[in-house]
Amino acid sequence: MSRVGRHKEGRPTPRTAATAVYIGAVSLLAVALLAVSLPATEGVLGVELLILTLLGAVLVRLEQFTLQGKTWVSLWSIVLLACSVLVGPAGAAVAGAVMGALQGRDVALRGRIFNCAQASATGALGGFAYLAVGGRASAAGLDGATAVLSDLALPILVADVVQFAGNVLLLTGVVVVSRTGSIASVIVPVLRSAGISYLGYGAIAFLLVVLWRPAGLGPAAALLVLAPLLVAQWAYRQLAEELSSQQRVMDVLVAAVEAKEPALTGHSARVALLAASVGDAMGLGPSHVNDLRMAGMLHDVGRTSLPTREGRVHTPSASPAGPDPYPDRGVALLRDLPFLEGALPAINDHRRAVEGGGEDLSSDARILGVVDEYDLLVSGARGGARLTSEEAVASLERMGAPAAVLDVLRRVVSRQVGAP
Amino acid sequence: MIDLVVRRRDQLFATLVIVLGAGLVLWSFAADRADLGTLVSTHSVTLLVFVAVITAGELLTLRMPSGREIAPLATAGALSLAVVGPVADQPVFDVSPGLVVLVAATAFVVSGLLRAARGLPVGVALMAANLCGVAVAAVLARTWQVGGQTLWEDQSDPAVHQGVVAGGMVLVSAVGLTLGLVLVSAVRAERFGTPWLSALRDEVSEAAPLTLAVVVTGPMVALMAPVIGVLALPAALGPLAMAYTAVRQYARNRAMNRRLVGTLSRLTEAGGYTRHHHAERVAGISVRIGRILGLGERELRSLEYAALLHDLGQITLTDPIPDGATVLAAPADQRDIAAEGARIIRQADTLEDVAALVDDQTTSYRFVREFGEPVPMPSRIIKCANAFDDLTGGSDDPAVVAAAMERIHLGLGYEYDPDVVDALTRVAQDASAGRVAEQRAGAG
Repeated sequence: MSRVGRHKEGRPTPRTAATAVYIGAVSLLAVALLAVSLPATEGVLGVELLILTLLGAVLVRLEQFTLQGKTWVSLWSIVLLACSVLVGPAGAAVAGAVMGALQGRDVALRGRIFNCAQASATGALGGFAYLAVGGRASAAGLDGATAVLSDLALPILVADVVQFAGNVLLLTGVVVVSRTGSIASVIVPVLRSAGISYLGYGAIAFLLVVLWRPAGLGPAAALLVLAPLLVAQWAYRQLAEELSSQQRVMDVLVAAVEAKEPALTGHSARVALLAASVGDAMGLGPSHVNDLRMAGMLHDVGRTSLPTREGRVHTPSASPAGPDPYPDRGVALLRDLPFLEGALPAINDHRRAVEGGGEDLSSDARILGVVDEYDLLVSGARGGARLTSEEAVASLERMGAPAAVLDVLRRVVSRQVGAP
Repeated sequence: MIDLVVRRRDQLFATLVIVLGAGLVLWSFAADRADLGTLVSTHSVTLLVFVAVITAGELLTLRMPSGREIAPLATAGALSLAVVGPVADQPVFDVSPGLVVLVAATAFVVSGLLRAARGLPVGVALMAANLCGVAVAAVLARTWQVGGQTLWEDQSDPAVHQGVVAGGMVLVSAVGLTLGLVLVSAVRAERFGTPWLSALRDEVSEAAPLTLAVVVTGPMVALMAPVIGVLALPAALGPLAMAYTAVRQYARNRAMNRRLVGTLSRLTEAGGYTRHHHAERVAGISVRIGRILGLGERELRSLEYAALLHDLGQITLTDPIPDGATVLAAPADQRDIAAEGARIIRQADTLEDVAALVDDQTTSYRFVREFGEPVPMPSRIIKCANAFDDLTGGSDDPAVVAAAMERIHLGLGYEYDPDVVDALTRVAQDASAGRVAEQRAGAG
């Protein structure tokens, strides 16, 4: 959950020096913790530490991957927690340093140093916490369910919470010092997505420790416990593939629209992009922006149900004989797809945003309606000459399009034009 | 409505498996009759926990993308019962394989009754097949001696490393589970008239990742039980439950993608080009034919998508053809429609194989026979299924179906691949041929 390097890579941060000092301080903390813990642990450099470190290193290198913004269980965090119990604070500090340093790909050196120090420090802290609340050293000599609960399960839970808190604190430090984002935007999502995962890590680390030590299985315990988790990881990867294939199928939907009305080639993709940018600039949340993007992509799907002759002969136009029938038809086609639920109202109402009579419209419908019409004017798909973006906005103003959306659109478009 | 699998057709193998399962239960009962009461009262807590967990697991089934229902949590629970030995705070679970069979059977029956009460189908033969797997695992773990003692005795022997015990238990669970899968696939193959080897291949490959998670759960339970007691069962099922959740999410998303392609297939209906649900019917028939002909899951998926989208090319026609029935259109028009559909589908690079199948769907079989043209089997299937639905218009009136089949037979060997027509004949005659699971009311 650290992966600091990735955020800052290639972008000089405003307070590079302060960040460097902070990373230095965290590294010092890690070294100090290791130094304190060394005398308290005997025989740190044993075979078990070697095996745990290797295992952690392998798991770290298995690509971390995120699905819909949530990081799926980082299996090495489970190993780090188990280290805190099985090889003590010093062992966990050593193993943590290795795992942290190997974390992620394309991480700048500074990021690696921070990750290394962070994992080492939290590993040691977890080990201290485990011992402090009465955890049996190395989980040895446990007998009966009661002893297991009080001398192993509960202390593991405490170590788990301490590691989580340590990670959040150290990460908050980075955010504050480097000013890469607000605490709310960086830390709150971490708390939300990783908070529950950490409870799961605790439960699984508990299984790993019980099998490893009291049940006498040793390193083979890792194979038993981690196999199902690797299966889960496999399934999540399949899921990620499915989600991208879903995107491809939607591309085919758009392709069907474009085959029917060649004048609209590229229109849906541009509207999706622009609608998302405008939504983003208006401060809508990520899932809301995603709904807008989907709505932009699929807003013309209903046009496939119009007779081809009409589509080819008359380019799309606001019909004088009443509202266009195609938004309704599009919604009817897409209605039984739950993941498009948030996009349907905008698809349904977008024409009304520019045809008038849309006082009660949602912001999505207004944005989509304006962006759609804007792109038709600029691309020349309306049949007349291609308008410049100023002309198109002016024309939209005359049509009575919502001023708030037009303002943002003007800003977004000028930024895009100004960009290299 | 207990849906006994023995019905409708000759179900020789399914009957055999049920008889085998029932025989196991009776034999176990006879063998342990004398001390059954003592055993049950001695191990009441352990038995109760296992029965509860296996029953719950049977109710939490997972529908895989192919439509198979599996119950990994129940299987894992039952296999754990086969290998578990010392349990902290409880008497050592020193019982014969027979008692293991009886306990697992009890849980299966209870869950079967609960499923029936909720109106869900109950596959008796499938449960019997799983019971056979559990019995074999129990016999191997509890009575088969390697080096003078059983695996079960090894666990309590300090001279044997627990890692070796764990390895042995994984092996025993794997044997039991594999046997169960083999029997289950044989029952399904017979029930739905598909080749047994391809049923087994699909069963194993689709379940493989979860199988891995299932076989390690039993050993985890057995090795943790001496430390944390009966809590070992729910605790060890945790990681498997995570895998279960992940696979379920993935399977649901697969189903969602299928629905999205279904939406795409309805564009031509909404535009008035094709008949209501034509594409869905052609896809349903095509997949069943594909299964009878032994296509693999991956091919079946492409076949299903291609069948759904086979008329997509009609969308750009300026004049719809009557009823959208391409079978009655001129060959050149058929080819144009197919090529246009393929062109649209090719916009998604991941659907290249689907596009190719759509492209080839109009080629007559004689080009394969006379010129060796490589027309993929799924395309031949779509050609035939499409003709059938165009001719029947989706009606299942026997006279209409017979007329359509007669017409298709006229093109046998010239237009249509004879093997495909044979399979279509079976699909048209037998409502269960080529499926993977019992049809639920309202489900396709």
